[in-house]
Amino acid sequence: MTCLSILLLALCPFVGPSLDVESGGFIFWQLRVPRLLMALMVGATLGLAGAVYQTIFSNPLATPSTVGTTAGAVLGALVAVVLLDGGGVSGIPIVAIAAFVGALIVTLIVAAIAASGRARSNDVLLAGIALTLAAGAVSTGLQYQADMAATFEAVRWSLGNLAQVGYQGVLMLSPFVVFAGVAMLTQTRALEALVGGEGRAHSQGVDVPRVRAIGLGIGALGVGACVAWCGPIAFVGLIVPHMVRLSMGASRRVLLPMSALVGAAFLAVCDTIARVILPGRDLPVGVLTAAIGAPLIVWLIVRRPKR
Amino acid sequence: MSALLTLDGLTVRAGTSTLLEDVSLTVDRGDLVVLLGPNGAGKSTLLHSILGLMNRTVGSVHVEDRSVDSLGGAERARYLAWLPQHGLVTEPLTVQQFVAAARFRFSESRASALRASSSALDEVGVAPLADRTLDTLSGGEAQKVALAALVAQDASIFLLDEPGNHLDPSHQFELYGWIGRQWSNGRTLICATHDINLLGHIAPPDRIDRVRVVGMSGGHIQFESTFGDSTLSDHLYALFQVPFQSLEVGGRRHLIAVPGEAEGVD
Repeated sequence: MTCLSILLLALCPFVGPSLDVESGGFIFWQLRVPRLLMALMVGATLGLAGAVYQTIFSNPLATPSTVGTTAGAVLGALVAVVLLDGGGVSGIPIVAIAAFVGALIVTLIVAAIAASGRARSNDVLLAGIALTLAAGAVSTGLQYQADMAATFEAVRWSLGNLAQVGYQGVLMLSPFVVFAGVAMLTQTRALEALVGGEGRAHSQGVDVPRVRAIGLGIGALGVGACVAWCGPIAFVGLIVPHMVRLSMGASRRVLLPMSALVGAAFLAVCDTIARVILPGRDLPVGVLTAAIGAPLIVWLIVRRPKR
Repeated sequence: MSALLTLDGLTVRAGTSTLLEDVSLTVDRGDLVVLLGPNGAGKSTLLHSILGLMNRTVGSVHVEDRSVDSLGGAERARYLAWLPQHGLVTEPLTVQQFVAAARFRFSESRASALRASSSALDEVGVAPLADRTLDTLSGGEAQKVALAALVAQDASIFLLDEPGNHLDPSHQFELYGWIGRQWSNGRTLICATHDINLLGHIAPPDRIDRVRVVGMSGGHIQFESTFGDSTLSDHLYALFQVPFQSLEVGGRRHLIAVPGEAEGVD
């Protein structure tokens, strides 16, 4: 699985219309490679964050989409599109800034509830879902008020898009992604103990509220940055950790790094297909992650031997 | 020298109900304390509040001279290990990995954690299970794996919450034999249980009389006694409203519940 992922990643930029034209160098180095790097970073972050969230909540359905990170970003982006009328700050689109802030605010509320030590993990997840619904309601209200053009722009953004020209996005995103990734991976031993339950992990010496705060809070920093730049990309955080767990076991020592690697490969492959499947235009990558990922998960579950 | 574990005036309230009230208990190094009491007596709550899994409203818990609240996680885990009442998770983690995760408090290499995990599994007698995943274990196997995790954590005090629950008789005897061996090797244990009929197996016959028995009901400690105390069956009658008779079988003394014979027992 490791070799396959790396091989697929390496192949991605060579897929597509022939590069043997005058602008081939530009297409390869300024369009395809930055887009691949983007897919790699976003896919790795979403896959890793999904694995961390699922462990923290002891719930297979916990993902950046269910603890409010994505909904917060979408709300932030809508506020920017509808109320702030475009523009940007030092080259960063205002939509991206607003989405990042939205993702952080909602996730930090959830992380604060989690770190307070008052709530059990299912309650925290419930709070995340409640905030997701609340943010969604405000988003819908904003869309209803907005004009056609703004709504269209917001909907397009919410489908997710990894297309890049040049390396600005890559440079902007990489510090967040690297910091969040490293911070989450430092918690591997604590997360492995959490598999046995929160109480047991506590009795083994794990500072459970701290692990939750790092996983959710710093995880949100990475996920928020990705969602802000590329829009919400569904299913990667949900499906990738399950693919890894079902094929390579549940040890967090394997699950966390492999979720990052497989997430990167999975998103890169989906994005490459999205790039070439329709001649002359892109399909939103979120359509493909769901269309490919969902049957894959069903197959992995069904092929397991009965016991 | 101060006691290993000192509970002073522990009170736990949740909303309007009082789960524990003014519980004080001193446990010395090398004690085996059996917590008895009807369902809802507060035995699990007591263990939870010692561990800090439940907030104390009033009172303090000290290990040696230090408040448990002042201890970091790793240090608390050096003193206190816990066998929860509810069983294992059903993730496809291997038994070896699960037991190695219990070594969290140690700063050590992965290889060293795996070695400790193997020897803990060996000590509990389930070494062949090492590569099985948790979701394939039977109830008895799962309980032994959970005990191996305690051995791997190697804390001074084991807090066992109804360890014999859901086990068949042969696993129950193995379990109580294991508790007795841990105790004989110098471990300090606190064991909440309903298995009064099996208490005679919790320690070797030459040490059984020194097993401490603490009776709880309604969040209070009702009595402190020992297995060798001749008034223990009176205390148990007061606690459960069921008479217990002391019987000697095969060189071991057992307490057997004899309903409907309130008078003239023992």
